[in-house]
Amino acid sequence: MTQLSPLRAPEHRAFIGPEFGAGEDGPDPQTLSYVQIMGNPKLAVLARRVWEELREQFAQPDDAASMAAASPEAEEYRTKLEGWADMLEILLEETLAELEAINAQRAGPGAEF
Amino acid sequence: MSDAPFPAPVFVLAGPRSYSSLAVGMIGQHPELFGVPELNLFQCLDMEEFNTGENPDGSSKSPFWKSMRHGLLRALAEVFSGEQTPESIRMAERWLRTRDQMTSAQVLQELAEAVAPRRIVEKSPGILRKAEFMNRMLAAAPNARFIHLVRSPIDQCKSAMAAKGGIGVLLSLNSVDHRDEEAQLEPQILWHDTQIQILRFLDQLPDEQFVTLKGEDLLNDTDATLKALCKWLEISDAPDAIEAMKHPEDSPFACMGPANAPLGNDVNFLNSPALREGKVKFSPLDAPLPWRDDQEHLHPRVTALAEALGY
Repeated sequence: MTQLSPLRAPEHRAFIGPEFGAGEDGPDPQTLSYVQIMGNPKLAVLARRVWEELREQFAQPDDAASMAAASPEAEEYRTKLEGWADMLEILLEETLAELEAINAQRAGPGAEF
Repeated sequence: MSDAPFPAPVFVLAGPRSYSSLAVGMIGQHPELFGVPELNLFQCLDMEEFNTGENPDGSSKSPFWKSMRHGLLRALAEVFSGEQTPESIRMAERWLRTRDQMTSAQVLQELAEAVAPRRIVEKSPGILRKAEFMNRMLAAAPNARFIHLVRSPIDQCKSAMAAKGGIGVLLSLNSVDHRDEEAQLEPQILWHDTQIQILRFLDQLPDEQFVTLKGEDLLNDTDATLKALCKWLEISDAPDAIEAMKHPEDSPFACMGPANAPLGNDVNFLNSPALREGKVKFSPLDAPLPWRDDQEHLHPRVTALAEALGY
């Protein structure tokens, strides 16, 4: 019979980020703010690559889109389109919120992502 | 709210792309449990923080905070008005505004009492960023049970790199290899350090209060794993209960919500919440890393941790 147990892995308690050059270990895993990324030339180059790829990702419809277009179930497709419209609205809102946060960070202490 | 203890919640602790939405959806469908969306309560000391999205020092909690509120709004709408509509979400907004001075622990208690005798099942990956948030969760529900949900590292990393928007998450969480002339995303850092953050938190709990669950076992050996979970949670493992858990799509939260709170969970799960038949394979720990072109393997510490977690 399957039994579940609590695994503690007691020999593993240190974060690994510092071994990949992320700087000092701390009480929590590290995060990066926009200011930290753009203030570090190596990270800024990586960030530009990431953002270009994200732009492409969000410009493409999901695979489900083409499948739905071929489906005879028009209602199902309509529902999916409504879902995408919702998501696009969210993305737009989030983009605006992010711009607002970036502007705030430029003006003051850095917010966490 | 009463002074009596409320039914102990079940919290799932898992990194991104670890089947956590599906797992919470499944477990939460047990007739004695009540799965909720991501509440994101414990990033906040009180509801003023939750409502404004600002930390006490005035900084922003997250550029995505507005959508991170959707889960609690949907849960409140469903529990207190029996539906999720634009009107009930507005009701939930008012409910939250009138509790500006209440702590996140008090709001959890009020929600838990409202669904009692069922027990809340929840996960909010955002709380794993800080031990302070996780400790706040434990202080709010000292008798809660915790499920440490894991997924094999190479597959989790592949999924994190492939998910829409995933590379942005990896960058913002500093899952980055800084050692070479060019920095590059390295998802095994996030896999490893998320487990460490969870293991450190679990150090303060007795063995009886948490369990480790491999996501692959849940998907490949579903009935037996669900039965084992039920036994551990001391809830019925009758066939109808197990059958209900195999239908996460029946949850009122397993779909997009109304326009003023559409999210509350991973969009991919919301659009396709059903448990799919078929076995999940996982990559051996010594396989070359598919996201790198230098034939690198997992860092030895990542491999060792994965082995210690049952891989």
